[in-house]
Amino acid sequence: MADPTARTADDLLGPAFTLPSWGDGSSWSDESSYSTIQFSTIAGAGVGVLLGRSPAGLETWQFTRYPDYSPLTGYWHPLDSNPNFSNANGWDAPKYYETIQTADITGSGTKHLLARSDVGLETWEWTPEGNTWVHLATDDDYSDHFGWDDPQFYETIQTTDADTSERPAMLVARGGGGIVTRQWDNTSNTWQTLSVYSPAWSDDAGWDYVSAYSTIQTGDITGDGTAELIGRGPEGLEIYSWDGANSGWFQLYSDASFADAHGWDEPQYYETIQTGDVTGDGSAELLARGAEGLIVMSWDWNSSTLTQVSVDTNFSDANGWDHAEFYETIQTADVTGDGAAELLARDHLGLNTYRLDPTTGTWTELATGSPAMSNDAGWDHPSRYLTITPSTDYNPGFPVPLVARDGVGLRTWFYDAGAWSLADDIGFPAFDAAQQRAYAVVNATIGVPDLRSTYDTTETGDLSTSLTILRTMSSPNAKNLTRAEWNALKDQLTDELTWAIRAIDHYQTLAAVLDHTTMADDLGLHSIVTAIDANPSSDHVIDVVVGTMAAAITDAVIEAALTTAGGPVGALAGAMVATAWSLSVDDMFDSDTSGTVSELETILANDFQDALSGMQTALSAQTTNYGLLLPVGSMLDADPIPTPQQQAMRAAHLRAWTAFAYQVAANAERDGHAPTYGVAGCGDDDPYHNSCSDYEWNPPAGAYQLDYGPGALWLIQFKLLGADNVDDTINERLFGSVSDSCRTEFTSGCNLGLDKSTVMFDWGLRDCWSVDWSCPP
Amino acid sequence: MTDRSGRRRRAVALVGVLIALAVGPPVGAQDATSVTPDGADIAVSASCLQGDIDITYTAVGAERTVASFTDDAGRVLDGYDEVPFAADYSGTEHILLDAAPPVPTAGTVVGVYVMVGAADPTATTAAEFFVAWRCDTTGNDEGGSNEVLLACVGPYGSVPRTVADAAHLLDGDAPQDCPTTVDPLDPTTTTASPAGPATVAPAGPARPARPAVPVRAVPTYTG
Repeated sequence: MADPTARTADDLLGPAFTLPSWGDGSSWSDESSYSTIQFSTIAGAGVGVLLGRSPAGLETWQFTRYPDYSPLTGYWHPLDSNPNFSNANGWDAPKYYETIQTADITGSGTKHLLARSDVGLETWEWTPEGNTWVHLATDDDYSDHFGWDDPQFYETIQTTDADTSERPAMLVARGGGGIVTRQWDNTSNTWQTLSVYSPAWSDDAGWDYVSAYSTIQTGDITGDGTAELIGRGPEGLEIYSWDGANSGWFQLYSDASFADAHGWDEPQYYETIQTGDVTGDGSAELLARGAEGLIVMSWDWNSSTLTQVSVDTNFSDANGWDHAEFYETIQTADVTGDGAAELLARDHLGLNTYRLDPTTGTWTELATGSPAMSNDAGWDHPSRYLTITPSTDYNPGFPVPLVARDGVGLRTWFYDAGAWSLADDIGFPAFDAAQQRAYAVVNATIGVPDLRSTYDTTETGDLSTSLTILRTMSSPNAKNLTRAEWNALKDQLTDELTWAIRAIDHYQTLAAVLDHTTMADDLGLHSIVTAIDANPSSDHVIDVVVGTMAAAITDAVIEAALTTAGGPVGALAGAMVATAWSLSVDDMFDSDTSGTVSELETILANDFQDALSGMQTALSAQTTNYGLLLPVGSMLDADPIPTPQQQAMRAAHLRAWTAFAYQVAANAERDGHAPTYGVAGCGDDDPYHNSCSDYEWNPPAGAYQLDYGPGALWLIQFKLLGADNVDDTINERLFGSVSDSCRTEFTSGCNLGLDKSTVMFDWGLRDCWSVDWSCPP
Repeated sequence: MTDRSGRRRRAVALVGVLIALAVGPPVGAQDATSVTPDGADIAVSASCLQGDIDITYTAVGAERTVASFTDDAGRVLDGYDEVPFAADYSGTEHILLDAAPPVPTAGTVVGVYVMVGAADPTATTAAEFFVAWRCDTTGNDEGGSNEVLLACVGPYGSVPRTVADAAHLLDGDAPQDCPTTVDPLDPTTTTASPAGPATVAPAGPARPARPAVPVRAVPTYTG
């Protein structure tokens, strides 16, 4: 049993490139993205997909198995990217992205997408014909206007299959007075109310505390085929059953031992409350980790109570399981397919899989420290460990997949024969003896020792030559192979060469996007610092967060790629850029660097070079790992990146870089020139300290005004612009809309189209330069 | 010619036996090579373009494989002279040849000849295979109609090497038998046997009765 401090690490987590490439190089380390990763079933039973929201929108991916390989092998390919859920549309706010979920609301076996926007709960339907989500309805009862933008409400929105008549899922959510239960009506495409404020888990009763409302969930505790409603409030655990005849919830059980008074209002305890059929008896057990360990309780119909099945002290606080990076990974899933759910929990060396012996109440380890999601490998970061997600209904009859996001992207494992195996851990297709003899002839004819080893290159010239020779090759002499074997060999090698060439072409296209040398002139840091009238020779040291820059650049390229072309290739292009930065920045979460403008120019140029090297590493992974070469190459072969998309990605990249350069330049000015007039609060921790009266609304020379919408005027003490340069040039440059021409060819004269709040809040300027935002215009 | 050749081989064999009795087992690849042919047929992929045949034999110490793909116009479409894929082998070997342009048109009679044996082949150290068929543009595995007209196996020097050589055996529409004995006095090379009913006479309607092929002196095709 696990002691989080006791084992050695195994960090073999797969190649340097993976799909989906939801690594740290883009914004996937942001909670607004990684927390949305989830499995679903959208196109009928047995067809699973993976969902995740990037800044550009909601991505839908599907796993395709290699038909000629074991069921453990295959690859992810993108189906859809829905821009409705983009940051630009506000979906990076927790009150929206935290509500993204899927449920079979119609009873058809196909899940619908539910997500709460500002105007209410939106319902989306998957259309297999178009491979996309189509908006079906919006229920404004759950809108911001009606107060559902508070977490104590929106975080409780969920669905449950709780009706004995086998009707589809019901929607439960906690309002101020308690639980509201509704059901989807197929005829009107609306949610119909079944019960209101039952149970009365109201704010007044203390259910507006996260320790209470976040525990609201459903599970079939009694094993009667319908789910109960479960919640832990200030007074303890409560379980309710649905009464279909009377359309209401009635209390089945309560247990005061889970009350706040017993310490269960601490997250290391209440966050672990969950259900899972770990005994395999057809009813779900209640699991909860207390200070002394993991408790398993089972429903006893005779006494109508929950009775204790197991208490495992290995999961105690004393053993370190009170740390979020461990207890938040505790979950159950029937990974062996035997009908009883296993327990998954990550300790500091990796993921452990346990099986419960119901007779003895003891847990035994099935897989230990595997996958090796160790702290040393960065898995103690929430953006990693909170993405550990198994799926038992992804594709029934096949091994259970497990996904989790590391710095490079999403890793996929399958549970088989007592171990988790990486999905993409396969080699090139093997040749039979006759084909091996023919392969030797191919090598000799082309003039290489091993054709397959030549794929690992960044130039296509030799591979194109090899492909030409191969295509014109006659059958090899005296090698005793059938025509079918020869054709298969030739076709396979032709495919591989073609895919490798496509991957290299793709790399070269994106390498050109990332080529920093073209920024040496009017888009260079030196030029931009000069453009805002700052002194580029200043010896003031500026802090820069490279990870932020990398994420901004990657997100911009991804958005451009998806917007201009969309589909698999757009996602793949973004994936390459994301991987490049993921591999080049040592620690995306703590990538601060500092220096003068001149020093930063060198540092950043090196960072770009490292990113290019990272992209080469990603390319190498693609061309040497068949599990990547096949999907990447075939996607690119079917749909090469068109020139307009290449231009758009390049322009987006330059625009993101330029915005970053302006940020650096602005900070250079802030650091290099203390405010020339007294701004009360400058340097204080309270950026809102200032008020209109501080200035009597007479901005001093050098101050710069930003019109921040109706009724609000931002005022920045802007040495940024220089006392003699208070004009709209920079204002227009920063905030003016981006012209169509600048979206295909970005120059130093193009506007950046920045959001004003981004500049005010994210550029590090506010502390000294912003003043009261409530001042009248 | 046949008689002289046969007498010479018997003499060589006799000398060999005497030497063996005197100094022990003979040493040398030439003496170690033996190939026993067993059958030949077109492969399912055979066509006007692809000279694909399957030959069956047992070989010990094979040193050389010669293959030739010809048509009824006397053109050599493809060929090679290579070291065999295996010196010792028992079973079916797939022979692949590719017609150089212009590819024969459908209905052309094409043939593949193969020799497997010693580097310096003789009737005792090498076997030959020859299959002729009326070709189609695609193989039978892709819906084509490639009809075997002649399939022969035998010791070196016993079977036709080109379609032109076999012209006299390909006059009729029906499959023909192969040449008969090359050297009736050499028990190891007695008969250039038909490749067997399955290859010489593909399944299908019974052939019309026809005259037996007369026994006659057969050229050795030593080229």
